[in-house]
Amino acid sequence: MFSISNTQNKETLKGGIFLLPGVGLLICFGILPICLAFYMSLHRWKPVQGRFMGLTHYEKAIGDLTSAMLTLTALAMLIVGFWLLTRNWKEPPAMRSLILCFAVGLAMEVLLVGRGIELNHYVTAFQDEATWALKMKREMFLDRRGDTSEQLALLSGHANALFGSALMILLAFGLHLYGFFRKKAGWITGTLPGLLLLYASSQIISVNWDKMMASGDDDFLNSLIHTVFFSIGTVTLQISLGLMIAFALYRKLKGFAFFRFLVFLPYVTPVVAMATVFSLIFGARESSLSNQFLAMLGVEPLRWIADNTPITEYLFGWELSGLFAGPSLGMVTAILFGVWSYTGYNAVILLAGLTAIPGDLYEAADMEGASAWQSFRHITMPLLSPVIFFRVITGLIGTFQAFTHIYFMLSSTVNKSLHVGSIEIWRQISLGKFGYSSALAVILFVLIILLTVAQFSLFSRHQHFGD
Amino acid sequence: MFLNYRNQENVLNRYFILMLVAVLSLAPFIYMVLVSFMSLGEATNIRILLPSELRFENYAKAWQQA
Repeated sequence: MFSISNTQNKETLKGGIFLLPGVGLLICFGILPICLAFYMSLHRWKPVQGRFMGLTHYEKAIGDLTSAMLTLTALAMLIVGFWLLTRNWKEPPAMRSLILCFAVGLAMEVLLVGRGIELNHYVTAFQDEATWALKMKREMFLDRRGDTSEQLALLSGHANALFGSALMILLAFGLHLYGFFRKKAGWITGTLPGLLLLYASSQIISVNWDKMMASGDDDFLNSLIHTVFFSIGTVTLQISLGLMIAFALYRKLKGFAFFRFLVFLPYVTPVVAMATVFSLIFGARESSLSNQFLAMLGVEPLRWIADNTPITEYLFGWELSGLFAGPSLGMVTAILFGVWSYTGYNAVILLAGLTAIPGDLYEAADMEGASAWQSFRHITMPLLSPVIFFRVITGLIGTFQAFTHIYFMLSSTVNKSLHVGSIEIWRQISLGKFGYSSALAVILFVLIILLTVAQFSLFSRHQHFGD
Repeated sequence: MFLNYRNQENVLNRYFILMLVAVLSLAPFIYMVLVSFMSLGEATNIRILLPSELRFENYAKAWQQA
């Protein structure tokens, strides 16, 4: 007995020794820098180390820490609400999230169009009051500023609640009908608490985000919004287009290797060169290639990469700002680059996943008289879902860290709407604020980890890894 | 559409999609190659798509500077 455990110990020791170089490298170049960044973020560190500052940097970045925590909790509530709502659905997770994202997106959109209009109204009203106050020679300094944001949050909260409740009733009705037709309606156990959670969390997020914006670093918080735009835009487009290309390449085709090479080409071209070329093509000048193309179609020239106007204004004429305005035109150009360079990579990975699906499954489905859509829905989607899941996770992580091409597409300070998280971190470093920028880096790191964990807990149960 | 794997009619559709993707992914690349042969004046004037002459000295310069 003793001797067995002894040999086991010896073997463990041997294995440990073999592992040591790898683990050592990982600790030296992976874990220690992260710890150092955290250490730096707690200190005043302008080129050289200064005094200990505790969480001051974090407070400066995200404002009120309690409202930041509340926002995070509300995000978690959002996920729980989503889970409660869709627990009984039979759709595959991708379909479910698509339906729900669409519904929630629509809800948010309508909610905030109303709110945007109301906000503008309040802002002008407040400006009138402020000018009046100045005339009366009242003190209008820092304290007053805090007041305005609170008032604004309160007032916009009212408008928000009104639109929100009307919309949620509609949404609930729609979802209930949907569940009814699916014979899966569970009002008390699923739909109602789920909707309540969704509604409450959206309210909490909107109120607390306003508070954070009022007391925190606007540039950084806005850059987080831009990161989310870039990330979601790039990942959804590149995976759906990649899937399409993978299907086009799937099964016998003449010139398969040639097309696969062409599709993969953007991924291997150097990012710096292509980002420069893209900023030439989508230049702000009237003579840039994309504007010449638009001129052929008879459209007015756009300012593309240097344009901070949100696309909702171009598309619908809404004058919103912040999270609900959607990405700016400059951001759309950056997304186009992301899609251009990564779609081929996705296509090749998804193609590998497709070819791994055994063909006899399709044959069997064919014998049973399944339609093309049915075999796609019940064979391809479930068996491809681990690959898609992998690409969504790695894609989101990659786009949250995106830096190079956006950096090369930036033209000085013109396009502020292109400042994503990592660009903002770099900007703070270039200003010599090492401590502050490492605090921002730590925040981004934590966000990425939370996002990944949330995805795993939401979707990994539904993956078919092949039994 | 092209979901139907056993149908051979959709080969045309597939070629169409692939050609479109190929053109889109190649175009910026070709433009990069063309720009590499231009003089500085031509490269910054984006109206010019084709270099007036093939300036291989750009490559020689890049090689020497590296």
